[in-house]
Amino acid sequence: MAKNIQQLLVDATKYPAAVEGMLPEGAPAISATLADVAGKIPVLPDFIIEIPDLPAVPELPQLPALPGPPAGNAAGLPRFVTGARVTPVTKQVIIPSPAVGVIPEVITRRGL
Amino acid sequence: MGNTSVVEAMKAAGLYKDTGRIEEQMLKTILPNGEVREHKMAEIDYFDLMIFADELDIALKYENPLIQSLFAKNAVGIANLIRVINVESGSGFKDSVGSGRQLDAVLLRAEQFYDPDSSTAMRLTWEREIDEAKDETFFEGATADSVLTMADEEGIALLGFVDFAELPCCSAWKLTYLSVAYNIQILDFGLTDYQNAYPLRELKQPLFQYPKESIKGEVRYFRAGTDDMQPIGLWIKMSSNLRSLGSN
Repeated sequence: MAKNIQQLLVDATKYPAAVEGMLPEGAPAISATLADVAGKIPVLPDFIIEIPDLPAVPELPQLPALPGPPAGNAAGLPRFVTGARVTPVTKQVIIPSPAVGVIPEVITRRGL
Repeated sequence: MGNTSVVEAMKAAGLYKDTGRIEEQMLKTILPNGEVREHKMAEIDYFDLMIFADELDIALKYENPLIQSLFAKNAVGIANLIRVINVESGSGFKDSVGSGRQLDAVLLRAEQFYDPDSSTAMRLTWEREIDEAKDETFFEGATADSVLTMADEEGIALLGFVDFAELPCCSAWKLTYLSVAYNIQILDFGLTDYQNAYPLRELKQPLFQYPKESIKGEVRYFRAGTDDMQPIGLWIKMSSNLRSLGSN
């Protein structure tokens, strides 16, 4: 029996939860959002009468098997990008500054 | 006395050529105590070093041969100093016809240095009234007892001292270079070259003061009198800093 709106919302999470259980991993979880909303709405007075529990979740038909993830890396992501044009970059020649590398030495023993 | 020609000294070192360019090199000065100092020398036209040698020999042509030999002995060191300064000035050495950032060398004179007896003022003469025996600064910066620091595009070669005072007052010299104090050197001018009456004292190690480096020179006056000790050397500067008769 639901005495207030929060209890009613929490009870109602069983419907999306039943559908979500049949979806592949990672699908949006409406039930979690609904439960979250139930916990954040302002506290309202109880109903003047208690409301019976919501009907049980009906038996859902089996969904057809979903196709597997595309071939790719461990996360299932493809290893390629579409719609992008790649052009080679002209090779840059790096000219070292005169101070880089070994500079010829002149040894002197005159002077401080 | 040895060689009295800067040109001949430069020829012997392979630095006297009218064509070509000498590459960038690292000057490593190894002191007798094993300490090594490094200064980068910029590339420069051989012709620039040839100008330096030619004009310095002309400037010294009628000098005392003792002075000539002092410069000849240190000619390569001075050429190295020029090349170190040229790292920053970057316009070569054109001597008396230079302009802008091109380097020139001038002999040392009193008006170039701060007066140790009057802070911030420049010396007017090397003559100095000494009222009693005491230690005094000889080279210093703009304020009393401060160090004399070179700008980015100048340097000094200090090779020795002469003292033409009728009664020399100075007996010893102490150099502080890069905040390190070195042993005193005795400057007893009364014992120098009595036959030619030329009171010259050569520094046992020439001082090449490179850009940004600091020195402080102190002397001992052992009696009262009018001293006239003066340094022998060159000040390498950019031509833009050599247009004032009164101070450059």
